[in-house]
Amino acid sequence: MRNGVLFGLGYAPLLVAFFVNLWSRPHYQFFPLALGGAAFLAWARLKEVPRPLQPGRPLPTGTLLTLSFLCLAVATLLWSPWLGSLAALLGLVAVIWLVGSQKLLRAMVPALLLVLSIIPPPLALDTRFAEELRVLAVNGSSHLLDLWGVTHSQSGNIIELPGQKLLVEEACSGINSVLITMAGCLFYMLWRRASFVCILLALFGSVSFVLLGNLARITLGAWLKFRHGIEILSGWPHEMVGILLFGSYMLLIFSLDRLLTFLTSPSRRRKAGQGSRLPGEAESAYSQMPAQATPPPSGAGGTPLLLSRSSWATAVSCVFALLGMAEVARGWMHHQTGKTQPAMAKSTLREGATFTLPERLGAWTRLTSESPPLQKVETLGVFSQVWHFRRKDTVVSVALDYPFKGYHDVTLCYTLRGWKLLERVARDAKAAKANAGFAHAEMQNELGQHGALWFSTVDDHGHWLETPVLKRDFLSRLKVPWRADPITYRVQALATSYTPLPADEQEQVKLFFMEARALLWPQLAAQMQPQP
Amino acid sequence: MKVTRSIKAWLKTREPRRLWWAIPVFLATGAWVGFAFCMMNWRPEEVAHRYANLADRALVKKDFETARIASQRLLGLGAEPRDKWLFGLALAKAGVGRDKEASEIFGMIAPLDRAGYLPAHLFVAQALLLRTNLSPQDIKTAEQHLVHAISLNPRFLGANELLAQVYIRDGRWELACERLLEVVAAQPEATLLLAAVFKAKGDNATARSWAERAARFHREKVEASTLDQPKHRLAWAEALAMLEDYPTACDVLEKGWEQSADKSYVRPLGEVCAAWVQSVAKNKPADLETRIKLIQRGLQYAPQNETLLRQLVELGHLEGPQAQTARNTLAGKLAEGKHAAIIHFALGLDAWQRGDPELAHKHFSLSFEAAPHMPDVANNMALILALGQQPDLPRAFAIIQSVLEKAPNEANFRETRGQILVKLGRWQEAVVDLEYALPLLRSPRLTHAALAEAYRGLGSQELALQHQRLAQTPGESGRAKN
Repeated sequence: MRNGVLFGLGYAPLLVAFFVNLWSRPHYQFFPLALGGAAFLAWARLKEVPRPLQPGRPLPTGTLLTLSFLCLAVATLLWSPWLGSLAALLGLVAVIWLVGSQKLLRAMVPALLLVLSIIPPPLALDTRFAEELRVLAVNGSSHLLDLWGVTHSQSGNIIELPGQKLLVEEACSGINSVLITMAGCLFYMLWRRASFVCILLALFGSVSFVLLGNLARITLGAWLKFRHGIEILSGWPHEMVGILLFGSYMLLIFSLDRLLTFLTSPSRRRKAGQGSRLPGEAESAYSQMPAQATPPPSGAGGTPLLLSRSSWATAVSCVFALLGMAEVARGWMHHQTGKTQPAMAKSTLREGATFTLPERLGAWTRLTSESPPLQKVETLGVFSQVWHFRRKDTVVSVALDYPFKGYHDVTLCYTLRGWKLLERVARDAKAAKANAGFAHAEMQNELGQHGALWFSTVDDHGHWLETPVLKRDFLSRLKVPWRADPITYRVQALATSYTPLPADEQEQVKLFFMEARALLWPQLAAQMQPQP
Repeated sequence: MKVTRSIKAWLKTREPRRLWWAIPVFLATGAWVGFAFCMMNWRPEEVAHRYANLADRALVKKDFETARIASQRLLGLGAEPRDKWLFGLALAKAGVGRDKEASEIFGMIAPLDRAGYLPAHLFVAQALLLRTNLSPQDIKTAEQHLVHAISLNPRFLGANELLAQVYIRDGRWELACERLLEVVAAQPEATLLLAAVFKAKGDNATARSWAERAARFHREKVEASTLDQPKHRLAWAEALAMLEDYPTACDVLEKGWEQSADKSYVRPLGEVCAAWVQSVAKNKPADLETRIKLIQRGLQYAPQNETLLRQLVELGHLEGPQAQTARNTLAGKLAEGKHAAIIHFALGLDAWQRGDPELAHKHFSLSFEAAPHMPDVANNMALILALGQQPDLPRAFAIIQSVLEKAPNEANFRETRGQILVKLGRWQEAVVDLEYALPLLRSPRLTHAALAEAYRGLGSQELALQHQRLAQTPGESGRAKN
């Protein structure tokens, strides 16, 4: 028991950071339910493992523990909660193997799979998947609306009716419900002891249900708005529809399971001698397992005893505990580094923070109009402030958006709103001959409009985050959420026209962007100072 | 056989009742099948066709928001011709007030340096030429667009016609003729314009020939229809006037007026009568009766026609050896009971000229009694006399005074008297008249200007400034009153 606690403490600091991080992602906020489900599955399956447990051979255990330790060490060094979570999973596997070898591990696989579902994959695959689903849903809905005679136009993930834009708020995000639905499906199918093929089919089915639900929601929402002026795509009706749809997905998963069971498991008594089961008998392959494991003989030297008695186990646990202490120290250092930076976290940003740009900025004059409809700057932060400047015939919109959790690629927003990215380059401070790097994107939309975009993102420690790909570290390139996401703030400048902006104009806009950024950053930093 | 046996065996081991629970998933599958069926029936060309119709209809109905969405959808679908939908989008955006975006799209589909989309070039040229404050640069730009349009389709009527108008505006008659000759075969309506261009060019014979063709064409159109055709009737009359057949031109217009009472006849009627009077005055100066008759006839329809009013003033200037003869002729006509209103008015002017204001006043009163439109005529005449190049303020004042005796509360007349009083430097009285008229006038810009001057004269600079500012506010400023 003591060894177990010491061993667990080794992972605890990074796991806490990991879960805190996960909570900040709305589509992963179901993770406590997933962990609860995994615990339930583990408990249910543990009861069925024959006793006494057969301890695993030391070599695989040692290998797994070593791997876990190395992962954890690297995670500690880099302060990467994500890597820490992987190390913890490896450690858990090692412990399971140690305690009950192959039999126990096999019984724990469902629980481990469910735990795995809350660890974000690399390359932001989860986000991309959810975004792709939204693109499919909006495209499909647009086609259906054509057939239903609803006059509309589609621009990326936004559907526009005469006088009304729909799905604006969610245009930049994917379908968030897909991950929780898949996790729910996985839990249910694992609990039902479905076969691997059935689980795969059910997961595929759950994705299709989510897609179908969103198709129906968007199509019906647009139709109701167009024909009857009824709004179900925003506000509380949107929330209600979301809940209703989630309930429907769960019902459909249950229904699919029933169908798969019907197809794969005989439920009638066949003629004698054919080895059929009675109705109501266990329905899946798992049912051949003994329903209740034989209780372990008392004092038969169960694995926990082995673990607690073994001196090397104590040593290993201590090493992990020491590493845990190192994690605490590293975490403290990380926290202190943050505190000593000129900027502070979101919480210290003065409430009602305001930012201003002068009436004139070089040859650029600020426009008084609220927002020329011509260029819509894509802003996703909780707060956004937009200014429009003109020089000759060129109008540039400058926006400051904040706060974001981690780095948010603004070109994604533009892409999901109908812009096609033609070119994107990142310039570090040296290449840009400026005090901070920036990214530049050339875009074009279906109307033939050209968009020239410059943007920079700064985190709460004053680090400018736009770095050329080859200069980023390996894990950043993989888009692995390997460290705690900082709070970020973004400055962007957008100029649109129906012909590509000439090179000299581009240069002027770039200089203007850098000047505007140079004016905004001190204001931002000043308003993030700790309050007395 | 083995497979069949297996299926049978499989079926025997199933419990159909369990399928009840699978109904939701069957429904979802049905929905997917339905969706797939819809997708198979979704044909981009059909959708594009529907949206194309929708965009066209919406533009015609001026439902610009729907037209905008439909055009965007067509562009999103990649429907061809892309320029057409961009043009529709630009029109729709201009319609909903998004002018800058619209102008950017026009710049893309109708560039100035090369030929783009023909209707867009034509539209931009039209828009430029319709500007009220048209600058030489606008005309040049419009010409450039029209040249591009013609390079895309040399026989395109609208472009040729517009370009001809540009050349006419610049006095480039030869080029205008070239363009119009391209047009007339397909569009005989342009014949009249061509005749006018030849006339301006000094080629009177060819001008007459084209004018005859124009008169014939429009006459046929008028005669072919049971309903009145103001457009053709007006063009017919204009062609006849060009051929100096004023009597027929006048008859044509009067018949139209009797038939439909279309207001577009009023001004041309005055113009034809004025041209006719001028022709009579030139060719038969002694034929006072015809002149009086024509002036009366024209002023009946167009009391604001300046040529007719000036002719009337001339009629009042009876001087020289023929003066007494003319006066006698007028008196004789009056005795016959013909054209009483206009003759009384002319005699009034003459009496005033000869320094007999009492008699003048008497004649003016009789004139106003004889014809209900004469006060308006008198009012307009007073204005012309007051604001013309050689103002005759005492005479203008006498005329408007006589008018106001008949209608003392008429705002237009009070405003005219106010204007004359300002010219006379009688500020206080002017302010009384102008302030009275101000709230009752539809276009008070000149009234504000007069008030500014009056207040300045009275030494009230602040009020003068306020009125000056209001006078500079853009708006209608019609002077002549009906």
